[in-house]
Amino acid sequence: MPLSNRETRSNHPHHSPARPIQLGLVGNPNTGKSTLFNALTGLRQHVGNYPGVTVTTKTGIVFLDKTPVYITDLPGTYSLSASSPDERIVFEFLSGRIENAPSPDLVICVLDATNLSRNLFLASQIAEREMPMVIALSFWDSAIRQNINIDVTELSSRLGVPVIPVSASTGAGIAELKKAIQSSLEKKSKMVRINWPGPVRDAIGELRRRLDKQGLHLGESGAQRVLFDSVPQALDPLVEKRPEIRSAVVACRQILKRGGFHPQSVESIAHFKHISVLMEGIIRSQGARVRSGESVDRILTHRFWGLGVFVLFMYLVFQSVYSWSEPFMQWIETGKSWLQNGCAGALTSFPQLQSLITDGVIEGVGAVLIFLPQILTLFFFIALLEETGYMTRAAFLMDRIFAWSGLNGKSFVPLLSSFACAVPGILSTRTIEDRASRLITIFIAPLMSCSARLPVYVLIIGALIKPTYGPAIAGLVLFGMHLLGLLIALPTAWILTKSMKGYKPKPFVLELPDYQAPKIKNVLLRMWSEGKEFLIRAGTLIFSITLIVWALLYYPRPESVAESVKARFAQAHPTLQADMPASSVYDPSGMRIDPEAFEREIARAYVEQSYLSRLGKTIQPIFDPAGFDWKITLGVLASFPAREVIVSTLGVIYSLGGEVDEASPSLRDAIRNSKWTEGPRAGQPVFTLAVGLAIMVFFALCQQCGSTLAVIRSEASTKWAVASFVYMTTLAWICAVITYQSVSWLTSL
Amino acid sequence: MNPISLSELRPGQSARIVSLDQDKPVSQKLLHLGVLPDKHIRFIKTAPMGDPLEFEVEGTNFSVRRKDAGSISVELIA
Repeated sequence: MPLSNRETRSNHPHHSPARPIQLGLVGNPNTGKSTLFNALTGLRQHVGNYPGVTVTTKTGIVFLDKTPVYITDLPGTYSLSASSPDERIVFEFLSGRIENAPSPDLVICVLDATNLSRNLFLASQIAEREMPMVIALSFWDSAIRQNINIDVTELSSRLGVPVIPVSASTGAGIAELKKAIQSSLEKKSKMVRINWPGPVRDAIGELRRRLDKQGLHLGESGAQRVLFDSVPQALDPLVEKRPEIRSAVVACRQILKRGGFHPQSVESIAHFKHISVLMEGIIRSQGARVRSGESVDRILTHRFWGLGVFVLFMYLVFQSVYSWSEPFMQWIETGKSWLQNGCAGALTSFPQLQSLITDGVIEGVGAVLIFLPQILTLFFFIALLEETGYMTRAAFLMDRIFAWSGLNGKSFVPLLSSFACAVPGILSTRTIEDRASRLITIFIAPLMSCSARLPVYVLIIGALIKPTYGPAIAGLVLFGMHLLGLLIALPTAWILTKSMKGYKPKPFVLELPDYQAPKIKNVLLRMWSEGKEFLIRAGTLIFSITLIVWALLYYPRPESVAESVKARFAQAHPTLQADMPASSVYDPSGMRIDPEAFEREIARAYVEQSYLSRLGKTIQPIFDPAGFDWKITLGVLASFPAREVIVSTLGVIYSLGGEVDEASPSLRDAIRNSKWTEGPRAGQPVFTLAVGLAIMVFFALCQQCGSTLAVIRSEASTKWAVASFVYMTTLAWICAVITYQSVSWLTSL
Repeated sequence: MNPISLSELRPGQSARIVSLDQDKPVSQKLLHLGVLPDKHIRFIKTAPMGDPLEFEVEGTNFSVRRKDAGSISVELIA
């Protein structure tokens, strides 16, 4: 919330008995902040979404004695100067500017004991806010192993706040930390502030005076952000553009420059100078510092071995999403069919309710749950990679591939995962801090050819390409289809970064932290919270889309359709009475009429006159340039919630039943034998090579996945979901038309 | 000794930071990581595809692209 005049609130945190105490947890990235959060709260945590804030934070409950106290885990940041929304939320939260989030009564700064001076920079910036603070020194056992000996008592007395060494993995120091929080809340212990050089003090004071006159009552810390940050996120962009404000900022930066200070660097230089004075004699290293992981890193990021190990790791990640989750997905499928059969049996006398429950509700719940195995396995690996510190090395190794398109190496894992499924892939973009890079990665992720496209490729290649051109060409086509999305994705990213309003690619500065042993508790909690998040945020929408498409395919439902099918059967088989159940009749030749064929014919007749099918026939002219007949068009429409549905839809429409799969010989035959029934191409086969390729290109590029759209909507915004749908669907149509027209022309030569 | 650009270092070489181009957005991010004038910086390695580069300053290892490393000038430590 870029509000600008509520700053004063934070300086007077008021305690009313009804208002529970709020703690904020801040620290640099990779300081074990989340481990500490998990140790303090356990399972008593949930993901918080504040209105208008796109970044998610976690809130949990910690018990001080027996009093429950709220604690918010803020995104890791090196500085209060925000260059990404994740970093910005820290400043907003500390200033109490986030709606529905009360300003914290105390802030816990997590500082990496093995890199104390650098970590103190953020604490020193927060000290400017003059709020009660406790410092937790994480990685305490690593510091001891590395011969770093910190005089904690002296440090605490110099800083003026409790300093508690913790080792979140063993739980050491947690009880002391809780006690220190209590005592700091009582005594309101604040960290010692920096003594700014005169010109800086003058500039801050002058800026506050001039902004006050404009009705902007920024605290000292808020004024510092406006003065020091090249893009002052502390101000509403609209307010910042006001000429009086602009000129005030420029004038006050002039004061700095006249004093010999550069506005961009003075803050860091002054704080680090202040810190080096505070830290004098605090660390007594015994012998040489031993850093862990340097030799490991030499192999893992080695020119040759590094890439080999990387490919191996990424293969594992991909396999986990692609095939390790397969048995679990099978169980969900089996459970779903079992439930569907059970309900269908129990509800035979209520056909409408039967279809709603089995094909609508249970199908919809299944459509949501089916993603859980992939999401959980992917986040198991992501948590593992992040915990160990390898994730940043992956970004380091892959950055070169993405740099030209405006993205950075952090987009690699989400895009790779999207080859299995875009849903977990998009969720994993949360590891990308830069908002614009993250949005662009979300936008291009669905272009990766996911496993749900495979049935379409297998069906078409199996029916049209393999029989005529042999397995080698078939394999090549399959590979080409997987490459197509990737070849379009990166140029798309390039165009987006060039055209996004006011977007400048952020400089890519990546800390490469020491390697750490992963903590299984963190990994499991991460899987649990990501899975829960998905069910809550995207689940309902996926469920509703499934229900809507069910209704469009089921209705209208006039009795006359079934009657006319019966009448047709009765005509062909004179002994058949229209009111007799099909299963009990025989035709004159003594052959039993296949009751299943009869049922399939009724199903086909109903689908053919359903609302969706009518829509398919109406818009078929749009797909005519791509060579699609109304049946393919209907398949395309029915596949918008989930693209693999095309196979069963074609099964129904060719009277084969909905249980066919992409390898069914009957469906392949039906496709090969399908002919145009009307129009200029009447009598000619529908599925020529050109049509087959056009269908595959269309499915490779089209946004036919309600679940992906639901996740884009919850991770980015409705606007991005709509943009993704429009872009991919238009792109798919254009490329399908180009494919059909050019292949038709080539084959006619 | 004449200041050179950080991107001109060879792997394993150490240098003293002379200045950061303060108008480049990358500078503020580096300053927050403690990459300040007068600090010692060590060039550790290049990523396998030639970019980005890895450096170390006072126990913090970080990576920047070659282009951005060009905005830091350093003096070699003999």
